[in-house]
Amino acid sequence: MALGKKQMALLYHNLVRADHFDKMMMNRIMQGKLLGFYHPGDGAMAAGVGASTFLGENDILNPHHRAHGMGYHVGRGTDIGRYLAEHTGKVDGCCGGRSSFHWSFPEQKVYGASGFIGWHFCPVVGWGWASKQKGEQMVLMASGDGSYGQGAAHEAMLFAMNWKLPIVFFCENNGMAIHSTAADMHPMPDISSLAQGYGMPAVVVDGQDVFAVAETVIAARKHALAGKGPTFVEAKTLRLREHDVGTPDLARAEPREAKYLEALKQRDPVVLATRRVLDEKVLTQKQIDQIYQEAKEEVARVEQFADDSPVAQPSIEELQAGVYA
Amino acid sequence: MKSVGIIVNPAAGKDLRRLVAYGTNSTHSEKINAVVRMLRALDALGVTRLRIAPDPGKLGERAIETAAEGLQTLDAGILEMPWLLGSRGDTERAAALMREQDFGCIVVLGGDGTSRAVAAHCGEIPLIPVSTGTNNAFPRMLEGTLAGMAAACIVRAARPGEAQHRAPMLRLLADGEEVSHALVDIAVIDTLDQGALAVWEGHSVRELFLAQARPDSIGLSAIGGCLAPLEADCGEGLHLELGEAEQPGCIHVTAPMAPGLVVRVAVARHGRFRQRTPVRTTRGVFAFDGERELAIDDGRQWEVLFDPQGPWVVDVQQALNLGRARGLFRGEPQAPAH
Repeated sequence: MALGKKQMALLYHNLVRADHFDKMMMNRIMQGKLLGFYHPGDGAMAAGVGASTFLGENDILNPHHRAHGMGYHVGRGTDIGRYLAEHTGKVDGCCGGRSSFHWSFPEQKVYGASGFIGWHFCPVVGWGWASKQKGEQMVLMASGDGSYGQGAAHEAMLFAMNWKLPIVFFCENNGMAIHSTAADMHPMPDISSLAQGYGMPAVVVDGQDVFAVAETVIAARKHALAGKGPTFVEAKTLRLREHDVGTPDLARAEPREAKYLEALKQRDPVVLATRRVLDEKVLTQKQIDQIYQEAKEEVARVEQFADDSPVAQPSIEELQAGVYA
Repeated sequence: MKSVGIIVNPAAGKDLRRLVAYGTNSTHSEKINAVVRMLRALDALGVTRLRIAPDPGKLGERAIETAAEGLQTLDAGILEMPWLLGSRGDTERAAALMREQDFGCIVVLGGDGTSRAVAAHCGEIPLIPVSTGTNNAFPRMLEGTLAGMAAACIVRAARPGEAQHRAPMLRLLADGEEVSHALVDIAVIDTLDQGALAVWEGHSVRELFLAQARPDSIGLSAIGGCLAPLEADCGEGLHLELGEAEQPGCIHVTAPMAPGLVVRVAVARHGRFRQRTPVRTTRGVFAFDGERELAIDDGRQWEVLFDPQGPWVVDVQQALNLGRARGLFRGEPQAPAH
């Protein structure tokens, strides 16, 4: 149950990679090299990496929209080259370059994103039902605090609990929903308290601690696979930047205080994890330097792959073939 | 009259042990209600100033907003702090500010880890630790109203040192220099088990130093409590070395490691200690009051010191008796003793 050094090293490696990819995405949107938007995950990559690194290959993953699910994708091992190609409208994108950040990797059971916050609560019950029938499979559904203002969230928790579905409701609570603060939007600061009303086991974990998140989700997954039903994991995290690159960073109608945001950087998960792996002798500084070097090289390869891919120019027939209904 | 402080750990009682061991869910609404009850008790007994440490969930603000209408004499507000990081550092900074501002008593809502964070920075201010955590060897289950009344008795009726005692604590030394401390237990955990901060699996513990050991507590200290309990004020700690389940000569102890998690642990050796005692394990991670924090550095000499002069802790029953004896509950309140 608890993590050994190998697992800690893997989590650290994935965290550094995810952080590099997130920064790559921020740079590219600023350079005009991405289609659509980018919702940066700077300072909040630990939750996704920790939640997804030790999922089973049969498990269904529904990533959070922040950083366009980057931490989850890295943890799951999806192809970031195809992910970036999708964001740049290229034929090698995971959805043929037609979706921008509404990606999907169905072959790896990573089901996508939508512009509608909280869209996934109803599908996740279906995935949970299917997983229960198949056995040896569970669903990790990630979302933010804002999505729990949707009525469908409560329907999903109700059905998941009544039917004992193998679902982990994983909430990244960064205290902000675009420009609204969670304190203004929710009567209680812990979103997990909603799950308790349905009798669902609920825990709160430090979302800046990639190791703690991983250990918690491993326990939640075990609970699900044992047929004990859904659980709720709330990862307390933060948002260092604006909701999406290019829009003002406001709380209500006021700019968020720069000194406060600067102070929050002390809680950057990469900083915290680096200190921990060094203090606990999981990795040496030389190994860490190597991980950083490899991450830089991987970013370069991914960008090269996406940039070399031709722009998608589907025919009418191809577009119609992609329309479901 | 000195101010009363309240520090609420919003994260206490919510960790992984809700999943693996059926730990109690300590909800925010109940924490707010407990603080409201404290505010009402403090006000009824004539305390004039209360400051609550801020937290990201604004529990203190919500409690004050709820209680505000009924308050007569109490100036209840939030301790001024520049900003919050949502980490243990917030608790430590709040305790340090209360010490700088010479508060008379601090009520701490949380578990062992919360009390440890406060105790490191509160100086000589007496604490009333109220359990809202998971493993509660240091704080006690205490109704909020009574906690508030006891705090009022301390700042209104008690002289320094009255109705309080120094709790023992443990100090970890590296090459003779103190590097950390614990109020209840210092454990050495196997290096292969290092995930989340909370320690809840007995098999990963290799060595244990206890400042208190009672059979009616939960957590690592319960291993000692169920084997060789320490009497209150005995002036000694308990040192245990744990073995493997099949190791010959071990005593098998059944103890509650977490709520609902009663496990058998093999103890190879145990004995009381008072002076510096060497840590025998050469590889692993130290956990302080149940939270993993520091790796053993092979090159250093590690020792644990039992210190009977830890933080001041209010004896709630004595404080209430003192308040009664000095007329705090009859007629007009007496003038403050200090």
